Amino acid sequence: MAAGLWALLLLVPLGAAVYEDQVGKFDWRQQYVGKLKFASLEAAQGSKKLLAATQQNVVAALSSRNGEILWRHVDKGTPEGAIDAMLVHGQDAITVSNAGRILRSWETNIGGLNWETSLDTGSFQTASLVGLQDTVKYVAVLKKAAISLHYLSNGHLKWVEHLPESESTRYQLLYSRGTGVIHVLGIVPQSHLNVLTFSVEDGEITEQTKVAAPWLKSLNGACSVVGEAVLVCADVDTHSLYVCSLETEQEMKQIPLQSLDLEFADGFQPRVLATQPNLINASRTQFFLQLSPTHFSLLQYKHGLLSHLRDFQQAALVSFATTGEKTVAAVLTCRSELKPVNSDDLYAGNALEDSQKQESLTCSNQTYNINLYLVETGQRLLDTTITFNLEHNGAKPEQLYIQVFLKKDDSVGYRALVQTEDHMLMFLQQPGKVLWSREESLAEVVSLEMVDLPLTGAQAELEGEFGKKADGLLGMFLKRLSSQLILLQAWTAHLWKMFYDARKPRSQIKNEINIDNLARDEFNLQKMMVMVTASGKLFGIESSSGTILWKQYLRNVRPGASFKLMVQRTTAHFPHPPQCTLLVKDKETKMSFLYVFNPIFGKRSQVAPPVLKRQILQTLLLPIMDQDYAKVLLLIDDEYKVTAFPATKNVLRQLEEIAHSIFFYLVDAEQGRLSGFRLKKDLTTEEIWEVFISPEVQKIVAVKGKRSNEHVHSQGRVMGDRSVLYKSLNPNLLAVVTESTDTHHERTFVGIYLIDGVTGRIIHSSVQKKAKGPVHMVHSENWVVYQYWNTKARRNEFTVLELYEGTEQYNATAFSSLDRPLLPQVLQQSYIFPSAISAMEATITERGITSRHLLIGLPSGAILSLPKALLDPRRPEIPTEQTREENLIPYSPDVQIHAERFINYNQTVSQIRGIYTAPSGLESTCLVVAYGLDIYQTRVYPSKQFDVLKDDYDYVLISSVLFGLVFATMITKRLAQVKLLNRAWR
Amino acid sequence: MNLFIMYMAGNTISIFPAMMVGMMGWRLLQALLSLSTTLKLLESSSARLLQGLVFLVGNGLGLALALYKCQAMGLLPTHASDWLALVAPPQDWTLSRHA
Repeated sequence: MAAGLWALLLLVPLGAAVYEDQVGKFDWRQQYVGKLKFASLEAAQGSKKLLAATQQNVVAALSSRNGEILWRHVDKGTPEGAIDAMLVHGQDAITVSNAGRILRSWETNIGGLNWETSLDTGSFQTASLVGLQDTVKYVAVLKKAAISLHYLSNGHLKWVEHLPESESTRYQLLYSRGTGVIHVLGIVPQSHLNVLTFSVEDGEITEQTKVAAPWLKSLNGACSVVGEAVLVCADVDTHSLYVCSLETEQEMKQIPLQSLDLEFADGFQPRVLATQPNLINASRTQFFLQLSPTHFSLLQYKHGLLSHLRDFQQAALVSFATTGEKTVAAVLTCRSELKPVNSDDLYAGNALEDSQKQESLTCSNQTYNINLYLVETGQRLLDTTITFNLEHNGAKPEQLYIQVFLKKDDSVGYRALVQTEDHMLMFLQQPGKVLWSREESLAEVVSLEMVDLPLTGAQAELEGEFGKKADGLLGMFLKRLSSQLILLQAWTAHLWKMFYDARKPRSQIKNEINIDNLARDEFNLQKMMVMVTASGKLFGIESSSGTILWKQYLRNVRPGASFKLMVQRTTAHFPHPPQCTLLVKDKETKMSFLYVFNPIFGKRSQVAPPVLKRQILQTLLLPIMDQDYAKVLLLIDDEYKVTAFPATKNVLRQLEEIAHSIFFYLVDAEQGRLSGFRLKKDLTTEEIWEVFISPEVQKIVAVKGKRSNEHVHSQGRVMGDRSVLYKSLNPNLLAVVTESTDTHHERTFVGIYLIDGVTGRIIHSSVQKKAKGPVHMVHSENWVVYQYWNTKARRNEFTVLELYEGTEQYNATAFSSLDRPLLPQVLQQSYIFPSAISAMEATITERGITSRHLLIGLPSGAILSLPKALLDPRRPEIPTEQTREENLIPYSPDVQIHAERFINYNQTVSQIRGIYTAPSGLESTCLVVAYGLDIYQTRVYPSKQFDVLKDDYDYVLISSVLFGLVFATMITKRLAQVKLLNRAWR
Repeated sequence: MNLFIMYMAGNTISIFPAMMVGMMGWRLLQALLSLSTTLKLLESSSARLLQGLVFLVGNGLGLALALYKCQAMGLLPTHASDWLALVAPPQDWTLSRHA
């Protein structure tokens, strides 16, 4: 009976879902596609979409009118979903993904899947469409040891053939021009080329030739096929081009570049760029030869003759495009001269090395031109210049795609899609109008902080009044009056706006948020989200609407760098501006630099950060402040020396005073070493403890402390008999998760260690046998929740650990890690979870009174809000009077996923990588941002909205009842008086 | 009679038992506060002191009963858990929280 009741209680939703009319009121989602890998623009003026396949394993169609996503298909975020090639023919887009395992065809208008076939294993090389007698009927896929031909209409296999000598030969190129044969080119490095000719009809090898090419190392880039199956290769050593007709010749013909007055730049691997091969006819005989990073030449090879059509100096990117009979070359050039980057522009000199210098040529005024040239003659087409400026972000263009079309007067018009280094997509129209732009770097958010918005001018005025020195009674009084007047003015303006807006329909009200009218709202629900993306671009996004208010590109960040974002000064210290510090660590050199900026306006701060000459191992943000209210940041380098920032005299003096109480830990996952250090007065350190976890048996995968801004309101839990079970709240506690190196499903295990970060004492350790990662963990208050895969039962499981001191507190007033004679009691329970997990985080509120929920990002894109009460190791197996008194839910091993606990209803977040939570000014409300391919922002109320009136509160009813009662009282009073008077007269 | 009512009221906390206990306690307190007037009434009596004492003890017993009832109902803040919300977190003197 009781169990049934409990089950019923559990079925009642805990108020996580939203009502229909609340959709989009507090939450927003932004969808992205990621950095382009392949793109295709239709060559027609009226075309409405452009197709893209991206590094984030997405196939999508973007509207060419406004850049919105028309449809999008997201594959797995792992390398299994990686797209290797995309070919577009008519209404079909063919993609090869999962290292050449899967071939798919998409209907490009609505994004439906036409068909899907799986291919044999073998490393993928290239794919190409194959035409036969005026129609494109097949798609050919070249693997390391085989070539297969599939029908375009249904994906069925026509034939598959093994390639001869595939162990020694690397087959890399495919070429077909509608003549019924496919040429496959393979290379034996520094020996010869293997040219195979397959018949399209039956896959028979009709011809096999060997072409000597002892100078050639790789086909990709250096070689291309132009015209009627003519192979053109560039060789840097002999400064010449080699040409060879695949159909008739068996020898490479050498053409020295001097005969064309051209020369390769030193140390640059030249590239040959051919036109998009025409699938039915021969491709154009013209091609680009890239001589240096910024020097391209348009050449032509016709009838055995190589001629030079045009030279392009200072060109950043080139591209070919065809419409009807016309083929044009688009060239993107810098308007002024390209110059090496000035060292002043770089934030830290050491992040850039000599090898990069060549690439770091930038356009001095960031203005670029795109021009069209007719390929047959190399002539520039008149009125085809697009000029655009990238001054605001300072990034270089990286890819160029052209959409050309014939206008009514037969002239050529075009639009250009440009992708810059910072993963921004721009769609440009003549003569330089940006039709739309997309910030695709937001698909790779790596770090995020929420910063309070500053007070408004009026609020700041009021605050400032108390801050200033008193200048006489009258002066103060006048100042107070004036500031009150300003407040009154602001209030009336606000009222007027409300009145004005109330008459308009809701959809028309536009609350334009821009950087000038940013102000904190009364409950501090609106914040500035500072996002760091993998490309090195920083964004400032207003949290209530998702408007990007500022963006800043850090040019000297290389791919794979790791970031750490810290808020050194909040907005609370007017007039000092808020200050954020970003620590960027390069992946290869391990060198770091600091970037200090204002998180509200995105401007680089005037404060000069210290130049870091050594590798930084650990950072520590101390609660002590300098005279400008900036928190002190300690950086520990690989010699265990400490650099303080800011390093003013005041700070150094404070540090000297409290040095004995500053501890930090270092993790060396490779060596399996955890070590603790203590700061000495001269900013050196001494090692005080070390824990060694043998890397031969297990490797450290995660180390997590508690969040520094976390408040715990209640120091214990009330038991059924009204005694208190005190929580063991050790702020220095670290949770260390290890995974076994042995991955056999019988012997694999997950270990967890709870280690005091000051003393190195192992407070608890346990091993979960037959379990393996990836482990997701949340460490908060007095509990740790982690999730792993149980290999024996083949399911996902949660384990929760809770630490209690017992019914007595050892020391109620002061806490010290050094004085803990009693080990805490550790309670533990495990649960079955029916799904895998992508990300996990706990809610956090201002004072920690509200109950906690776990926010769990599922691979399906949903975010589940799971009450922590369900993961409570005190849940009894057999409920008793006392546990009922305590409101403990009886233990049941499975935790269910209820759809009404999804905080993002149908707004799924693809490829969730992280969830960020931040407290708001309301105790009941926690702000949530989930990021992955998409970004989703919402608010959650783990204990419902107990401190604010509900959204649908009936003000009209309540006030009308109130007024009615007052009115009734007045009337009855009058009636009573009249009656009394009448009685007195009687 | 009070004893019987208290017994019948039970130990659950709901509005009626709470009101009953409250009323009982309040009446007794009022009676004690008006001790002087009661004593004035007894001025004529010979065994004034004894009667006064009996009144006092009687009322005291009633009050004790009310208190006991409160205790049984769990209305008195006598447990550590009743003061838990006011317990401040212990201060940590070490600085080791990482940003």
